[in-house]
Amino acid sequence: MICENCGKNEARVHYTAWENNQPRELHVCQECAVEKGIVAVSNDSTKFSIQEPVIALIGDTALGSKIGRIECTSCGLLYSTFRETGRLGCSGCYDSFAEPLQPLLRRIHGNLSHVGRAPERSVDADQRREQVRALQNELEAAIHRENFERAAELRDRIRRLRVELDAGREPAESAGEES
Amino acid sequence: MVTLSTMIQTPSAWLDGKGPHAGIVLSSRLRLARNLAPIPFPARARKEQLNGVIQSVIAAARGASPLTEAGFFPMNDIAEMDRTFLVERHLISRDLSQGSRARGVLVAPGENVSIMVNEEDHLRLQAITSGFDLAEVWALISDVDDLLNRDLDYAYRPDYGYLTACPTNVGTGMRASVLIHLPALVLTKQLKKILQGVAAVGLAVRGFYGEGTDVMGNFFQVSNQQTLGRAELEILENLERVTNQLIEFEGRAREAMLRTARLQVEDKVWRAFGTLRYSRSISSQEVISLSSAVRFGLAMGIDGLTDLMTLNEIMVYSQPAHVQALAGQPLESSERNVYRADMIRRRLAAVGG
Repeated sequence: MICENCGKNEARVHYTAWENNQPRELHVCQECAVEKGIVAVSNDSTKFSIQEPVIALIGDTALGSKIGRIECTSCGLLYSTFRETGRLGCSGCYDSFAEPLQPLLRRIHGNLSHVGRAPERSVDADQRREQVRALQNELEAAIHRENFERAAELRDRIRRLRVELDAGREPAESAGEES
Repeated sequence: MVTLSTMIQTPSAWLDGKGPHAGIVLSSRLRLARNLAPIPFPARARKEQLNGVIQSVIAAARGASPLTEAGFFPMNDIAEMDRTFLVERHLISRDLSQGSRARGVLVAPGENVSIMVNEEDHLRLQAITSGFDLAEVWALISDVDDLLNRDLDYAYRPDYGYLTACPTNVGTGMRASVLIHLPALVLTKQLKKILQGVAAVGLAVRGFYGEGTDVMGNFFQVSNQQTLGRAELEILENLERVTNQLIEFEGRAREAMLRTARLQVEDKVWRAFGTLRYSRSISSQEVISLSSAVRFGLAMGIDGLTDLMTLNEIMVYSQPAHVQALAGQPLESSERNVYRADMIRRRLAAVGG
């Protein structure tokens, strides 16, 4: 909004003036406000540019233009469309566009692997629980066969999967204690 | 059940001005982006799928304790004025208020918990509380997240975490923010330098009121940028540390101002209060500017002004859709200004200001 008095600077002071018994909203710059003797606590502001950073980061690169034609196998979104909108179409896009997404995610977040909560219920967690159950059956069979080398290997894999499954729940629990 | 008419009668709980540091930090907010596993993200989902998402979320919310009494507002079935009302209330984004796809918002009583459905992601869980209290919003939102997850399958991968439409949200899907009032840092022109420091540690700062780059009312929103590779509590601690420092810097700038120009500051505060208390016509922008000065005065401990809750409520209820909801009818801009001045006079008179 431009100052209504000088028509040059950005209007930063907003107030109501009365003219011919009619209220009129006025928007003037800091300088004109001081000059006219309008007392108001400053609206002096710091400027910053707000832009959609993600679109800039996806950017146009040699690699990008080559892969623009890649299409998501789940929802059919073109990578070139993603480059325009900055929005993916479905969970499957993370697989279909894995190659160009990796460096993009690194540029945005600086880090590539998730830390933090994991859903109790997700296709992934369900699959892993299923996996743990299958490995346990295998472990019992290995012990039965007295194949202890295999059993030790299986035990370690189960342990790792369990740690991963539990790790996702940790933040929720510690937050519970804090509150 | 929460309805639009109960909402206009009952100010949002987070406006009570009772949270820690509520004189400087207006509110603490948290949102989690979640999507339902096999369904395309809202922009690419079919109408039946979008309606299916809405039904699943409402059904899941019935069993989630903070949301059992929640009201659902389908955007396509409510008037444009009511959508603007919800934007002014900080419950929905401008994006959700526009467009034509099946979408809406679920609002819990007190409004401290809400869920936008089919915005950019299927679910945006939101929690908001008064003052500087990130632990409180985290407790609220992680609870709701767990309860909903009993019925909903979230799109998630162990490597990328919660999957979102925009890659800037993938991972935790979490955006935490505080709305902080920094008039002394603005007046003493120290803000720019401090904000650069804040940006350097991975947090974003933007002016809250006003369009584009024009900041009104000296309110700034500080939020995390990174969502992948940092756990929720680490992100929250980071934001908490930086906010503590902003509070300290602002406090020092205020002390310095009072040492050198106490009378001038007090004069400005009282003039601002006088205008709010006695004007007969006032624009919403002017209310934001003036209430910034009065908020400063309250934090300085000046006696005889209003209280923080009343000031917070005046700020929210002065916005155009709120004024018209209070009036019960559409009003022209000049009529709104008169109605608004009248409403503010009454509220300030009622608390003996």
